[in-house]
Amino acid sequence: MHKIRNILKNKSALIPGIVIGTVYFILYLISINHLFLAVGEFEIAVIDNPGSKFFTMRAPFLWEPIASISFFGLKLFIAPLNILIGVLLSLMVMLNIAVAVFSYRCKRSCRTNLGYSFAGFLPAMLTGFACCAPTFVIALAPVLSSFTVFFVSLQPFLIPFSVAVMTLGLLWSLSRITELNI
Amino acid sequence: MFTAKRAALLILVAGIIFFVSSLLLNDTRGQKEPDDPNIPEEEQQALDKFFLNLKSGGPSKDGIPPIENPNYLSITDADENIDDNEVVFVVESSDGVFIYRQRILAWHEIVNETFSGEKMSITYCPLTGSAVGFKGAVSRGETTFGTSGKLLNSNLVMYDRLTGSYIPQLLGKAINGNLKGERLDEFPIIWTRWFKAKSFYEEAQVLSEKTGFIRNYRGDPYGSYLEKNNYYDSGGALFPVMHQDNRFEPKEVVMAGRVNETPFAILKQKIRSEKVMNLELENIPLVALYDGELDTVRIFRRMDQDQTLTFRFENGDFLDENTMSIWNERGAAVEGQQQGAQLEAINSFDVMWFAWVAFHPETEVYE
Repeated sequence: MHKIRNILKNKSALIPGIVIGTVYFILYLISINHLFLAVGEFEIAVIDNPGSKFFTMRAPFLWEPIASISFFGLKLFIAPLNILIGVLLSLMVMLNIAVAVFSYRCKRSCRTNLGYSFAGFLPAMLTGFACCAPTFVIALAPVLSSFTVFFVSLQPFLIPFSVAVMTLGLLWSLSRITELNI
Repeated sequence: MFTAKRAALLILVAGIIFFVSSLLLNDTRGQKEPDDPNIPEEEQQALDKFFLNLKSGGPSKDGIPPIENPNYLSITDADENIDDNEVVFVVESSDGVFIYRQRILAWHEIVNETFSGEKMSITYCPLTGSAVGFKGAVSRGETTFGTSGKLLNSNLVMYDRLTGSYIPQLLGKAINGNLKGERLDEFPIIWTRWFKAKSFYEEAQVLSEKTGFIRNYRGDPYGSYLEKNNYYDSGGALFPVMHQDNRFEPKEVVMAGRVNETPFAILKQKIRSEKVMNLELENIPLVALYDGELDTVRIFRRMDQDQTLTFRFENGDFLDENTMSIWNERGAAVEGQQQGAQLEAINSFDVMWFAWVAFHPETEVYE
C-alpha cells in the first residue's frame, strides 16, 4: 500500500493511469451495450419498481438496467452492479498502468527489468476480452461454431479471472520496484 | 517471493483449468430421465438425444426476458419510429390484429399474451430466423413460456412455466419433464415488412418499446434485416447443430411445417417467383399460395370434400383447374363453382434452412 500511495503521488504515473482507466470504463460499458450512440434529447427514464430488478442477472456478471440517461448524442443504461464492476475493473487498470508507467520511467535510474512494465498492460488487455466477449463471440463464431460453446462456457470466469490476473500483475510489478525512495 | 515465473505458471495453470472446465461444464448434460411408458421407444430416444444436445447460450433462465404485459401503439403513432423495411410479425387474433417488431423481439424472444381469454405466446428466435405462435393450453392446464437460456441447433429453447419442461421452438414439442413428448398447438404468425403491414392492417396495434425493460431497441445484437452481408443472410450457424445439409445455403429461408408429424420445407424464393406450388406430402395433396401483398406464403390441403384440386396462377388469380373457380391467397374460393369453399390451412412459418434441417433431417423439400 505504501508503494502504491507513493507511486500515485507521482503525477507522470497517475495521469496516464486515470486516462486509460477512464477509457477502459467507457469501453467496458460499450462492450456490454450499456453505452451507445443515440439521437435524442436529454432524458432520464427509470423502469417501474426498479428495486425488483436491481439484482436481476441476465447473464454472468450482467445485470438488468433499471434506468437510462440520454445526453449529448449518447445513451447510458444504469445497472448499478455493472457500474460497480466497471469501476472496480477500471481502478485495477488504472493502478496497473500507473505502476507500469512509473516502473518504465524509473528504469533509467533503477536497477530493474523492463519486462515487468508490460505486466501492467497485459491484464488490462485481457479484461478487454472479458468485457467484449459477446461481440467477440458473434464476430468469430460463424467461423467455428464449436468455439462459441467454448467461449460461452468461459463467460462466468472471465471477470474473476481478469481481476485475479490484474491483481497478480499489480503485486508482481510492485514487488519488482526497488527504487530506494519507494 | 512472488516472481515473474511463478506468476506466469499460475496464469498458465489457471488457463488450463478454465479450458478443461469449459469442455466439461456443459450444464445441459442432465441425468437421463426415466422413460415414459406412454411414449414410443423410438420417439423416447429421439427426445433424449435432443435433450443431451442442449447447449448453454450464455444468458440465465429468463435472462432474455419475455414480455409479459405488452403495451401497444396505433399504426400512426408507431410509424414515427419504424423504418419501412423493418421486419415485423403479424398476428391476426380474435381480439384484432397485433404487430410485433423484430427489433424488439430480438431482445425478448417471447411475448406472452392473452387473446379472448386464451393464453398465447408469440415466439421469435433471432439465430434461426423463425417466428412461431404457440397456444398456452397443455395437458396439465394453461401456461406461459420463458426462455431457458439454452439452445438446441442454435434455436431458442423455451420452458413452460407450469411444469418447467424444455420445448425447442422449432420442434414445438417438450423434450423432457412432465410434458415430455407433448406437442404444443401452433397459430399462424405472418413474417412481413412494416410498409406492407401498415398498409394492409390500418387498424392494427403495434408492440410498443415500453416493455418494462431497458434495451437498445434501435440496435440488433445479431445483425440487421435492413442491410446485407450480416448474420441474418450469410455465413453459418452460431452454435453447433446436430445435422447439416448443404443442399441450400444455411440462411436460405424456407416455409416449414408439419402434416401429421411429417416435416416439409418449401423454398420461399421459389414460391415468390411461381406464386403457386402443388405438392404431395405422404399422399396428402397440399398447395402453397404466395401472398404478394404481405410477402408471405400460406399452405393448405387442396381438397374439397373428396376431390383433389390442382391450382395454377393466371392473370393475377389463383384458379383450380378442376372447376376454374377463382381463389384468394387465404384459400377461399371467391368466384365460380367453388365459391364459398375454404381450404383447410396448414400452419407454416419462415425459418432458416440450416435450423429446420438440423431438427428434421428427413424433411421433404420442395424447390
